[in-house]
Amino acid sequence: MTTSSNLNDQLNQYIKEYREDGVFLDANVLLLLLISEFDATFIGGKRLEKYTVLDAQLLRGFTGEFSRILTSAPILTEVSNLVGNMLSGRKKREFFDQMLPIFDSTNSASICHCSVHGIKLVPETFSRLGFTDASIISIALDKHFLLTDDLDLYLDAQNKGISAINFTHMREAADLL
Amino acid sequence: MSQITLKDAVARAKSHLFDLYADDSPDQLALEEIEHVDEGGKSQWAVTFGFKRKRDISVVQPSNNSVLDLMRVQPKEIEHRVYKTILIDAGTGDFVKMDMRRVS
Repeated sequence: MTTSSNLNDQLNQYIKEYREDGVFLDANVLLLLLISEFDATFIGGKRLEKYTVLDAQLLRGFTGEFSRILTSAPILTEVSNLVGNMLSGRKKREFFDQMLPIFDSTNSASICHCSVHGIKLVPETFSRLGFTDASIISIALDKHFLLTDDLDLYLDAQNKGISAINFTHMREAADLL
Repeated sequence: MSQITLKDAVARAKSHLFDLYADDSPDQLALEEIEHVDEGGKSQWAVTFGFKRKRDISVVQPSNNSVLDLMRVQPKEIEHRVYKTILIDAGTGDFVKMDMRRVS
């Protein structure tokens, strides 16, 4: 548990420490970021019920402090599936056209695909949280900073000494909840 | 049907939590997770809080065997963080139930 001022100190510390390496976003948070860039009117709707435009602004402001976003194939698969469930027709095509560089495996300066090839999953995490979260933990163990709003993933990361922030803590500290 | 705001749902959930733990007030309370769920066709907010509680873990009855008494765990309190999920009806704002959120 962190108080508001503790959280602020922690965020500043992580920005300083991981600015160059980047911030690793889990699927929900990455979805919010991408949809806010695509069309913010979808925030608060299907699959994004729990967020508002202000949450997206908070997220954009924070992730903007880092040189790049870290992601992985399992996370992008989840995001792609979620988008497939929330958008349809022309909007869906427009989203994927616009976001192709994010999903494309060619790394750009602002996005880095962390490979899951050769990673070793933690058996206990895999059996409890499944492949995507277990792969996030294994990648983040390689000294990456994780931002998530999934409590189970956050606690598992904390227990393993991974630098991680619960986005819900940020939203509450920013008086958005 | 009109929906309550998420912020309102969180406030209601927090109020219910304090009511339910009126005799053992939650310490170091934090909002940990929010999910929107549909259960039985009903739209609900699942609001999870984490907090610390003190819990008695054992009560030792003295025996006539001093060696056995030494081996027994003495009564003590352990502080531990617990996670509780409060479900709030997204339409009416009514309290639905509280679940223990199991984490490891």
